[in-house]
Amino acid sequence: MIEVGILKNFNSDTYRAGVQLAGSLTTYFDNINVAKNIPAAAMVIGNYVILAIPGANPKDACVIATWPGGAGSFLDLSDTPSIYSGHAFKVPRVNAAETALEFTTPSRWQLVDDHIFTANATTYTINGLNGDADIQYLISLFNVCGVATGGAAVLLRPNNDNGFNYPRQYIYAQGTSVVAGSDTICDGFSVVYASALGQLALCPLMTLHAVSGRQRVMFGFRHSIARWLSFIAEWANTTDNITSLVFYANVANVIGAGSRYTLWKRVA
Amino acid sequence: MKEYHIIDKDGKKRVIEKDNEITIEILEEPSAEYLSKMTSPPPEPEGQAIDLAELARKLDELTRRNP
Repeated sequence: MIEVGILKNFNSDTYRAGVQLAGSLTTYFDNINVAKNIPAAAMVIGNYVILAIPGANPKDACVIATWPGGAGSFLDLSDTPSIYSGHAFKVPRVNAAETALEFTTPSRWQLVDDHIFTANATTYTINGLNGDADIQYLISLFNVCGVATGGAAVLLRPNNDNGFNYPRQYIYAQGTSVVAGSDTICDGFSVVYASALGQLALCPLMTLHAVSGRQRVMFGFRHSIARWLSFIAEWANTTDNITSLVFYANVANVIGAGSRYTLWKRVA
Repeated sequence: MKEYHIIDKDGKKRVIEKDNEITIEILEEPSAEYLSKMTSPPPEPEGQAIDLAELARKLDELTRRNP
């Protein structure tokens, strides 16, 4: 009877070994003989071995041949990373030199904050950002106006910059009319406009390129007071790293209870 | 995550320190000083309107003249 196993231990003094049968987690031969014609140096733990079992009697089993097994794990290979620690949720990719695999963080959107307001609010500030590292933000707003007003806006201000530094171009539909235009009158990205208590303003998706050294451009769609508006706007500051985003309502309580503001950042 | 309230010159704020090194500040009760400094909203976008029904009518007319 011939079986293939995996070498689990080897004593070069007694020339005896422990072998687990290939494909079996439970069948284990302990303290069995090893043919003396096999050099001790060849008996590497993890190797495949051939077991001769005369008369199917385990007591007479003997290792009669051995050869290198496959790598015990991905980390044992010579052209792969040698450690998993510190690389949670990363994926392997071919390196720039095209000679080996390396771990990298996959590009994806990561939630920064998803806030459902339980009370009316006037500003909502997200501190601790790093625009240069985050690269790009995705923003989704569901705003329930918490106050009756003749017309109020929520402005999004990187680093709370309240200068008139947000030129914009837009096109919107209202009724059967289409309107296009541009202006430089905004002291923030105008992301919400509302006038009545309980009125909804939806901004399902806006994106802001966040890396300094170039234009920080925001593109998005929003709905407000019977309008569906698409806009592209710019923060006229190419220097400062974005460390915070401030949603500023210019009338108290425009960000009403029940509103939901969500921010994601790009990772890698 | 920690959540608490602070009061500063802007008013009463809810502060949420998240586990991802992000801190949220929500101004829930603005102070009188803060309210007095609030600015007017930028007006909603305005521009040259094109009435789609009128545009369609003109296109139909042009098509009839130049079939």
